[in-house]
Amino acid sequence: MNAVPVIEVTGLTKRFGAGVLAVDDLSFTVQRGQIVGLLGPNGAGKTTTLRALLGLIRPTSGTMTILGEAVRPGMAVLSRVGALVEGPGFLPHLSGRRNLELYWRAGGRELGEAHLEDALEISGLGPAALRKVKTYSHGMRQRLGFAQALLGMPELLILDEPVNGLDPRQIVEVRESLLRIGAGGTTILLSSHLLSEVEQTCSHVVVVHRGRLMQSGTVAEVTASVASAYLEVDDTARAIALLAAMPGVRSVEASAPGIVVLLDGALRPDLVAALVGAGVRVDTVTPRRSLEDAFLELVGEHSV
Amino acid sequence: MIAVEFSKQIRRVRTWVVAAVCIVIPFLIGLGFELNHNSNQGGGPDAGGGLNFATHQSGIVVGIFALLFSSVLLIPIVFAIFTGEPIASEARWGSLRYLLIRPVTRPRVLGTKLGVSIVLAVGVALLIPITGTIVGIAFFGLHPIETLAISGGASSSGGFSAPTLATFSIGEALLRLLLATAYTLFEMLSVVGVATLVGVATENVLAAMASGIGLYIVSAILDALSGLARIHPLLPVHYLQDWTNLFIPGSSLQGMVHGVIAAAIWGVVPLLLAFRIFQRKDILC
Repeated sequence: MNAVPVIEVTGLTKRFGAGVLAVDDLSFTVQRGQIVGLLGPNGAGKTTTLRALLGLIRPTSGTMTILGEAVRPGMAVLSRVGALVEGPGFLPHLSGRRNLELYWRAGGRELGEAHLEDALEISGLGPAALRKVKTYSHGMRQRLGFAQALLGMPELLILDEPVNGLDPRQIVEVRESLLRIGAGGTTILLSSHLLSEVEQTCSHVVVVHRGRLMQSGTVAEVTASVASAYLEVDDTARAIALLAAMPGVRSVEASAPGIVVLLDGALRPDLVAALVGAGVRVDTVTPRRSLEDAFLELVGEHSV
Repeated sequence: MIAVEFSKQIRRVRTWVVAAVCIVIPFLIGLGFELNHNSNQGGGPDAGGGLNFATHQSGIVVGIFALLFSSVLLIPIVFAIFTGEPIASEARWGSLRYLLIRPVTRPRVLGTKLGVSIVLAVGVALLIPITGTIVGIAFFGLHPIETLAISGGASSSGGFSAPTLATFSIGEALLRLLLATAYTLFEMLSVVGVATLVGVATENVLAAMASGIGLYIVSAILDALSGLARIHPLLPVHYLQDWTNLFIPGSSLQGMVHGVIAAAIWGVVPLLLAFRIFQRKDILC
């Protein structure tokens, strides 16, 4: 059973109307127990990919399976999937709690299987769960949407920008919930344009840009694939000018108090030698293998 | 799933507002007849829709006129509101996508919403003749109905034959009112079809409701233009009030048969199209 991927996407392409190619020949796999971040700038095709996975839109071409079942509208396997797609959506005239009850029962299952109290607990809404949704703030709706996705303890969670609109404290809470749920064996696919979010939550990452797959693998693999350096020097402005002129350097950026250099052939010792040779004193040199660098490198100039 | 849809719609304010209107209007009609009766002792035959009734003779007459007056606009509006809205509202709230990521097929989602909407619309529309009859009984009592009958084929050769008087017993009158109501509600299938189609296709609440009502207004205008007589049988409103023949003894019920056929076509064709569009639609809202 473990051999069957939780999600398998092969050659997914979605063209809207005659023109816009939202997703372009995208393939990736999510294995059981992974927390996978679908990472890309806004407009990269993340939401379109998630919608296609849930059977909400018909792909132009390509195949998708969830837990071994081919994706199509209303497929049976959706009973084992919880999702938050492009923001929460609730009936404004009903309470948060009532919305969750109706959502669950619309799937044809008993309320007892929903673990409603647990989900509401995680949402942190407290007594507000009994108020009409139209009185909720954006953050409250987002947390209710997160709770809705958790109903029934799904095997797979598909979350589109789950921390969107939350304040920093709530972001930490959601992150902790995700890590705890993931540790419990639930597979999670979440999309984000926030690198730090993916870096702190996910075990694996799929980088997309303009609908195309840029890279995928563990967070460590993706970050390691990018050569970079972080330097602190006594004369930052001059060092930037010097480094930018060097061969084998892709980009140079100030990142107070130092400089981030993305390498394209040059080695870190070369940078030090060049700077020292020009009279710039070097205080610190480290590889900077953050996902941010990898991401910037992979998507090139478009997202900077 | 049906229970879920009921509890969603029952809790909406609009359901209760529309129901209240459907109770108030027949009450006003009854009151109007009562005032007319008082200012015009004895009351004359009223000539609405070809009906020749003295309005004050029986409470059932108020039920009949409540149905007649509301069939042109109020009942179509009720059906347009109830059936145009369900998919479009969910789309506007952003909850449609969550309804469709449940393990339930799309035809079942649409079918359930449509079925519940129709049941509610029928329930609310039924308030009109029921309230009318009850109010009428309160004002005028429960009596048989006397009306003028069209005398046989002889009159077709020209000249007016002396009208004869016919009487419907209380049971007969109520039964015919029930038939007339059922016929009128069936005619609403055209509103249901068009409003559902537009609601599904545009995901716009206003467009869906307006299309259902607009269908009636436009075809009522076309129906009034005698130059277009050839297309009149195709219009969904053309046979709308042919049920009045139920209360005119000796008249033909052929129009009602045509009306049922026209409504079925105007209902089934857009509904099939709506289901097809919904099944294949990309849900982007």
